[in-house]
Amino acid sequence: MTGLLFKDLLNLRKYSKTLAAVFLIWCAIYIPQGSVNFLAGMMCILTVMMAVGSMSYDESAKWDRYALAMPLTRRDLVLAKYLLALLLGVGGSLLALLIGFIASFFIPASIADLAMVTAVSLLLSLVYASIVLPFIYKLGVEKARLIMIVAFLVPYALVVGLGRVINVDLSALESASPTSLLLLGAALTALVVFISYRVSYGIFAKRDL
Amino acid sequence: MEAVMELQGLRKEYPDFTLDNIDLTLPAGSVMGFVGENGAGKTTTIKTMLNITRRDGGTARFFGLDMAEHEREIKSRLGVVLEESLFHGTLRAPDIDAVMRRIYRNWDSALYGQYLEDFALPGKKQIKDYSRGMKMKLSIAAALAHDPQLLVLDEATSGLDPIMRDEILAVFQDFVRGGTGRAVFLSSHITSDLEKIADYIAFIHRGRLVFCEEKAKLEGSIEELMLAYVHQAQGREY
Repeated sequence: MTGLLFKDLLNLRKYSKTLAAVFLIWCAIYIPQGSVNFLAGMMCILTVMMAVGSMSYDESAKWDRYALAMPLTRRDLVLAKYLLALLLGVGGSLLALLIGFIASFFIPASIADLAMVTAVSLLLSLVYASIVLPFIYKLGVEKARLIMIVAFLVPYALVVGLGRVINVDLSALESASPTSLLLLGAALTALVVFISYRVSYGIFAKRDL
Repeated sequence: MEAVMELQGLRKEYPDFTLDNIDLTLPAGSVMGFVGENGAGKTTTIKTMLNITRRDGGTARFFGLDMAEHEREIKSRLGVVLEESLFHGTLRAPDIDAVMRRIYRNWDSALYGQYLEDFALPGKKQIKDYSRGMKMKLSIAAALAHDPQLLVLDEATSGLDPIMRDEILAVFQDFVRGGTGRAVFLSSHITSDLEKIADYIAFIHRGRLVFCEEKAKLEGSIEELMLAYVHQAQGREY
């Protein structure tokens, strides 16, 4: 398992350098505007998306077929991708917090707000990855691109659209404490990730490589 | 002699191709050449016996263990080279060492380094910049560096020049002689390679095993036997 994660991290070295350059440019643009929270959200999403990028590398090398000739199971391969998404997301969040913390010395910024936005962004990014990954296992990275774009809307649609359809009064949530809402969100995200992992494994287990 | 690999009734069905009841036994201490024309079912046999592709029937046993129940244990004792699959192009040879020692318990970094040196593989170059032959040699180095008992090689000598093919074949022979209970299963359509090193020849045609025989007992060269069979089969069909 650690071998698989290590392989992905090595593969993403070049990609992460490009991403670091993008982050630096964003820092130069958004920090003077005081948009630290927006910056943090985008950083979470993009780092989680690196896990999807690693699947593209695997596909072009036909890695899964080769990996299954090693003492690794299909379950190991799928689990490693979900762990990678989590690992990258947590890494991106910590980086966003660090940048926000440093920025707070120069511009007015609330660390509490930043922490909340970063945590919510991490959860939404993981929900996004959970929607996308089963499609990639089913269709491959290229064919799943459209799904990846559409899936950006899903976390929003889930909160707003579903609330309207089943006629839930979302204003009731406003009275709840942010921390308890965050915990509820974390629990729901964990459930979504788990279901997604089971679906992805189910698809991958049946695939001929 | 103890069997390192036993395939019984191995079957895989595709809409346009069927691998039909393959029975093979590979004794310890021997090299088996697996021959057949392109599309005969060599790669499908290897993928099916290794559970890379789901099988539709039959059993595959290695070292006396059933692949269906002891997959991880068996695969830790196999060294596999596949024709089209390899490490990612952005990685370098030392990266492979870092990854593989986290996958194989028995991974020997020093031995891997020795193979890189013997095969003249540059550590600073990205794999995508390697020639086809160099990629194959890297794959072979990676397959050998965890002290496997059985080497499974799918077209491992294709893409190599004759001198390098000779060197690689010598590596395979040294591997079999280098320890007890070892064996090599080598699929190839280059029959001259198999004439050199194989103790057994298995010939597959259109998904069916035509024969599996000791090479010493074959009446004629592998190529002659293959061509004679194919011509005869075509005569029956047309």
